[in-house]
Order: sequence, then structure tokens, then C-alpha cells
Amino acid sequence: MELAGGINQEDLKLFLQEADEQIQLLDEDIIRLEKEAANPELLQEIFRAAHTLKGSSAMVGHQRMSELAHAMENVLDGLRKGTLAVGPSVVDALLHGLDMMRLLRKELVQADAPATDITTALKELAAVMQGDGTAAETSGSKAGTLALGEEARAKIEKARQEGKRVYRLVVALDKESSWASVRCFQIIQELSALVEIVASHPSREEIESGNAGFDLQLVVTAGCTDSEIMKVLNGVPEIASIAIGDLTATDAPGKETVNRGTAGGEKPQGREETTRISQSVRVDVTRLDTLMEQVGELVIGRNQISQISRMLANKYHDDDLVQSLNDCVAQMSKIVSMLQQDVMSIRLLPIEIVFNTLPRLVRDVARKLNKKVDFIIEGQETEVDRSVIEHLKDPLMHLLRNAVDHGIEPPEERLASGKPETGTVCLSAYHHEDNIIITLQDDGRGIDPKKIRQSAVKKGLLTAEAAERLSDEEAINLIFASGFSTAQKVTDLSGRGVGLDVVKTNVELLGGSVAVTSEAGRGTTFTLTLPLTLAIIPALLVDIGGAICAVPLSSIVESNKLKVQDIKTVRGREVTMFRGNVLPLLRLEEIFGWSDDAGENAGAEYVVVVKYAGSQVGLVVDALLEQQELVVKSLDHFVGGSNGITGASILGDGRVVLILDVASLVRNSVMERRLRAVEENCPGDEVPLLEGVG
Amino acid sequence: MVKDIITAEKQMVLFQLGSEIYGLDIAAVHEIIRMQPITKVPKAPFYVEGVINLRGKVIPVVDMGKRFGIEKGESNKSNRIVVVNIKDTTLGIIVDAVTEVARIPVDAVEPVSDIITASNHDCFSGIAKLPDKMVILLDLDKLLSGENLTVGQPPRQGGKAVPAGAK
Repeated sequence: MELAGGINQEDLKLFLQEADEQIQLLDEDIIRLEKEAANPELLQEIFRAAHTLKGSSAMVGHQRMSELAHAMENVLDGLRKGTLAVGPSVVDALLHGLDMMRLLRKELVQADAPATDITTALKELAAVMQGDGTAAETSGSKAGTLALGEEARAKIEKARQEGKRVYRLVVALDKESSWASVRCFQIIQELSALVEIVASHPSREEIESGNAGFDLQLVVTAGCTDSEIMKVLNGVPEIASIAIGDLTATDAPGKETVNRGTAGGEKPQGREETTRISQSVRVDVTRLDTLMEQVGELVIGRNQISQISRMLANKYHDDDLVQSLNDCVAQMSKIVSMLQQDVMSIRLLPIEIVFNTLPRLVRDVARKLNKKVDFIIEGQETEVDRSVIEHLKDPLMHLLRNAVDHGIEPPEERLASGKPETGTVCLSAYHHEDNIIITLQDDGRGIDPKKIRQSAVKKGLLTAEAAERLSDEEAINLIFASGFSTAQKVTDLSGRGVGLDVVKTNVELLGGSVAVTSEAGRGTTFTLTLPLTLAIIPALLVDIGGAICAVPLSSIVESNKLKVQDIKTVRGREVTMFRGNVLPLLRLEEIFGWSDDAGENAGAEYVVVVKYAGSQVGLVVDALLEQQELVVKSLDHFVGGSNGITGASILGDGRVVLILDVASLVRNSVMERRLRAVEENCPGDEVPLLEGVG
Repeated sequence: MVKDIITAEKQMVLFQLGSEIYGLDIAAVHEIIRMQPITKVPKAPFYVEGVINLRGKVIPVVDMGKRFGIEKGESNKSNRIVVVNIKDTTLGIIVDAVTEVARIPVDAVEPVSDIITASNHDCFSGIAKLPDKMVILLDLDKLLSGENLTVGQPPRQGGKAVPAGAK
């Protein structure tokens, strides 16, 4: 990698962070640009981002990147000046350039990354420029005189009235400098924090388009002294001389001229960054994780201490010392709870981080398939824990691809069925209780339950009779079964039958659930329900044959007492009536193989009603204990695995409880039943996912 | 010969399981703790007794007796959990009693004959003949290597083949 000398790791890190931000910003904005071509502010923002990239990559000496940024900037300039029109080819070229930019950035961090060839991207960008006939390349302006316009004079007048001083600055850059425009831009950047720039020659636009020479003249109004301005300017390298003086009516030359040798560089660049950093701190993710872990331990410790102090209080009611201990513990508990919440909230990030990468995907897929799609994002500011965000991208990408590929119809078909030509896909996120709900809605052709049934039967997932018995809703939910895809033909985008079951698995791994509703011809809505965090979860402790297990509240609908006489059997399986519906029951003791044959404690049992794939299942337990916040600890791979346990936690008294993974628990036991039914060879009995629900 | 005497000695933690004495390399042993309540884990391999809380860390506990098909002695106060580190896993091994830490000269160790090991996926690295006893040396890495862990599900579970949720 070619880099300028004297760039240390810290600078590079800052550069990489900045580059990431700018590239992401460009990505989002360029997509937006396609729709809002007439938005000058947007264009300006894009231009600025590209320019910043050019400047900062030049500063670290990444030649190719700045070259590429420059080419992009030219195109953007053309757009800004109206000599080029926004069109798919222009956007494609810009996006392609951006992709190259990402690769170039990667080169900096991965030593073994192959050198990226940017010539095609450059050619593409150049071709776009040529395509409209008008090359927007303007000639580099030579030093001239600074003329003050009407507006500038008014500003100066106003500033004088406010008691500010008006300076005239003449900066000459080192003739050796290969980045004159960058330095000019830098000077303007640095100064604008301190003063108001009334006029400049070359103009700001010229500087931003990279056409500045080695001389820069400025007229600024400021509330500070000239030495403060000098201080700022001294921080910019490659300046040969600076002249500063009060602007008089006659425009007299500066009274003070400071000559500097070649590129001073006595101060590192990055002052701009440091001011930003003081507002917010970037912390390594692993540090946050460690912090979270330690707070988790603290919560356990707190639980233990409160338990002991409760016991002490029971033993020595009126002891003053015990009393004050209790007070202390109560106080400490409160602080620990607050600390826990704070740490949690630090780990929260706006879901934007995932959402913002998606418009590009939608655009690319839609363009490839010649479909017209409006992609709407709502609630991108909704905050979610890092751990959840990380695992959210793949499922969302899958669902989106599906929506555009299978959901939205081609324009002709849409027009034929009386819909607007452009399809709409809406992705939204919001908080609901302790969950985050993400919905993905399209107004496409919807899912036809009949087709699903046929397809499922054809693929041997279930028999024809069983398929007929399913309600439409259950049938639609079959799309989450593995090995299922209804696409008429396989495209390279989706339809290989691995999509939706992966989505389901991923979401369930996060302790969430997916549901789908659809109306044929009207569209489909996917709803993802996810926990806010994975590190600490509220759960209900239940007694199962003497062992304590925890059921995450996120999957519980409600819990209730269950009388023996309320348990009925349907074909040998236990069910009960619950709110007018038939609720299939699962006995955890049986599933876990802990059946205590003797302990049929007649009468008092409880049922915990949990959500599963859009329907409900009742888990039969011996007793409901209490609700608690549990710090999730992972189990070793060989005790965990696909057995219906997500992890373990430690209670206040040091006991270990297992946290149930309701989704996989129910699924596995349904599967097992199915297998057993197949083994016993009674075909009428095989599939019903969860018989009688709904 | 002199050289051998100087270097060739291993420190082993000796423990009792039924009527036999086993040895573990001391470097692998993290600590030895008293028996404590164990939380059972459903559908774990049959020799996994469950999990315990080791100062805030949840670690699995295996029953060596079940693993090797040895009748364990009565549970009593001398029962211990030997906490070991194997690769990245920390786990507890239930033993009847920890007897001593012994220096075992390498030349007292003999390879195990195939006839003895065949049934146990050779997780023994050898047998040491000491003046007063025989010590079976355990090879922990092999003991918990992937294959040996997942096999041996009690035969009752016909439905274990279900791949759902795996991966």
C-alpha cells in the first residue's frame, strides 16, 4: 500500500473511521439522489462527502483513492452545475466507484488484499461525463484579485457594526505542494470554525472542485485577534507565507507577513477530529462487552447479598446493625440496577446501522429484475442492542430480496391488475414492551395458500390430507419450513429453497420469532419480534419435576393454573381449552426425560402459554416461582446444542438455572412426534404442526 | 541413563473411581472442589451430570464413572469435583475421592494394551506401575474430543436424528 510517510497508526485509524462514515453516507445519499434528483442540498451533501474523502485520502497519501474520489467529484460537479442529468447510468457509475472505494479502504487494513484496479471505475465515470457531451472540467483558475460583491460588502458592514474585526488574508502555498486545493480547502475548513468567511478567491466552489491554485485570498469577519487566526493557519502544512491585515476601505495590503519554511507540519492534522471526539468517545466493542459481563456478575452478586440480608433480617428482626445493612443493600441494589441500565443503553445502537445498508440492495435487485420499487424506511432511530443488530442483517437481506424478487410483480403485471406501476416495500421498526418489532411490508402479489399447500405436498413435506387440514395462516407459515421455495423458477437472487428457514433459524437464535401474514394479490407482511438485548433477559422461573428452569418472558403469552380435569386428549395427545381455543400441551418433564412416574400430583399444575410460529402452545410445569432478570451465560457446546436450552443463569443463592429456548423446544418435540408417527406407520397422524390451533 | 532420571518424571493428581486409581496431569487440573448441587441438563450426553456454578461461571460436570462404565462408590463426604481445562473448555469431573499428588517416573508408564482400551476410544495414555498400586493415566484431550462426546446417547432416544435447529 502506498501511503504518505509519517502517517501513524492513530491517523490511519481516524482516516479509516472517517472514510467508513463518508462511504456509508455516500451510499445512502446516492440512492436517495436517484429519487430526489432535484434536491440541491442533497447534491451538495454528496459532493461534500466525496470531497472530504478526496481530501482525507490525499492526506494519508492514498493516491488511487483520492484519484477515484476526484473522478466522482467531477461527475457530481456536473450534476450540481446541471451539465449532467441524474440517471440510472450515472448512479450506477457512482455506486460502482463507491464499491471500488470500499475495496481500496480494505487494502489499508488487509495486508494481503489484492490491489484494486480502479481503471474501469474511472473509465465508467469519465464515460458518464462524456455521455452528456459536456465535460464539466473547468480550467484551473489563476490567482487574480479578490473582488467584493454587494452581498459581501453588506456582511462586512454588519460585522463592523457588531464590533467584529474584518481581516484580509493572503496565503501562499508551497509551490511543491501536490495538493493545493486540498490545503486551501483545509484552510477554509479550519478557519470557518473561528471566523466567518465573507469572500474568497478562488471561490469556495472552485476550491471544492479541486481547481484552486497556490494563492488564496480571503476576507473574513471575526470576533478574535489576528494572532488567533495565525495560530490556526500555522496548523496547516505546506504553507509558504501568510499575510494578514485589517481590511481598510482602500484594501491596503497586510501589515504583517509571516514567512514559513516548507511544510511545517509541527502540528499533526486531526485537530478537527479531536474536537469531535471530545463530544463522543469511540470505544472498542470488546471493552463494552467486558464491561457488560462484569456488570452481569455484579447483578448476580447483588442478588446474593440481598438474599443474605433478607435472611439476616428474618433471623434478627430488631437488630439495628441488620437494619442498616438492609438499608445499605437497598441503596446498592438501586445503584446496580441503574448501572445495569446505563451499560445496556450504551450498547444500544440505532437500527439505522443495518437499515441504511438496505436501500442499495433493493435498488440493485429491482434494477436487475426490471421492477420498480419504492423502498420506505420507518423508525430507523429505534435502538437495539449491538448483539442483536449484528445478527439482523442477514435475515433482513433475505426477506428484502424475497419481497422484491417474489413479492413485487413486474410493472406490466402490476398495471394489468390495477396497481400502481411502482411497488412499495416498507420496512419499519418500533419498540413494543421489551421487544423490538420489525415489519417488512410489500404490496406485491401476496402468498397463495393453495400454492403453498400444493408445493409442500409435492416436496413431500406433508401429505395431501394433512395439507388440506391446515388453515390458510398455517399454510402460509409453511414457507419457513426448510427445503421450501415457491418461486416458479430459480433466479440467482433467491429461490434456492434456503431462504426463509435460515431467516427463521437466525431470528430464533436471537430469541425472537418471525410471523407472516399475507393476502393474495394485496401483499405480504413479515413481522420479526426480537428482544432488545441478549445479555440480560427477564424470565419466569418455573419448577419442572423439582428442577428450576427459566422461560424468557419474551415468548410467554400468559400463565395459568391447570386442573387435571381440564386436560383432554385428542388422539392420545394432551390438549386443553384456552380462551376458546384448543391449546396443545407439552410436558417439559417428558420432553427432558425427567418423568417422575410416581409424582402425579393430582390437581395443581400450571400451564405457561408460549408463542410458537404464529400459534400457541402450553408448557405444563409443576409450579410457577417468580419473575427475575437473568444474566445469560452460555453453555458449553456439548451440554447445550439443539436441545431446547439457550443458556444458563445463576440465581441469587448460587444455584444454576437453565433458560429454555421455547422455539427449538417446541419444534424439536413436534418433529419427534412426527418421526415417531412415521416410525409407527400411521399416516393419518403425521403432520399437523400443532393440531387444532387457531 | 543419568539424564533420564533427571528429566523423566510427571506430576499427576491421583483420584479414585470405584476401586481403581486414575491419574491426571497436574498441569491440566485447575482446582479441586467439594461436591455441590448440580443442575441437570436435558438431552445432554448421558455422562454429563449437569452444570454447576463455579464462582459465577457455569461449567459442565461429567461423571467419569458413567463415562467408563465403572460402578461408582457410595456418595460421601470425600467426593470431589476435579475442575480441568481442556483446550478452551473448563469442566468438572466427579470422582469418588482425590487421593494424592504423585511423581510418576516416565519409565514406570506402560502403553495400554488394545484389548483394554478398545471399548473406551483410547482415552488412556498409559498405565503407571507404582510400587503399591497401578494408576491409569487419562488423556484428557482424547477424552473430550468431538467424537467421543456426542456418541453414547442413551439408546432410548429414537428421535435424536432430528436435525432441526442444529447449526
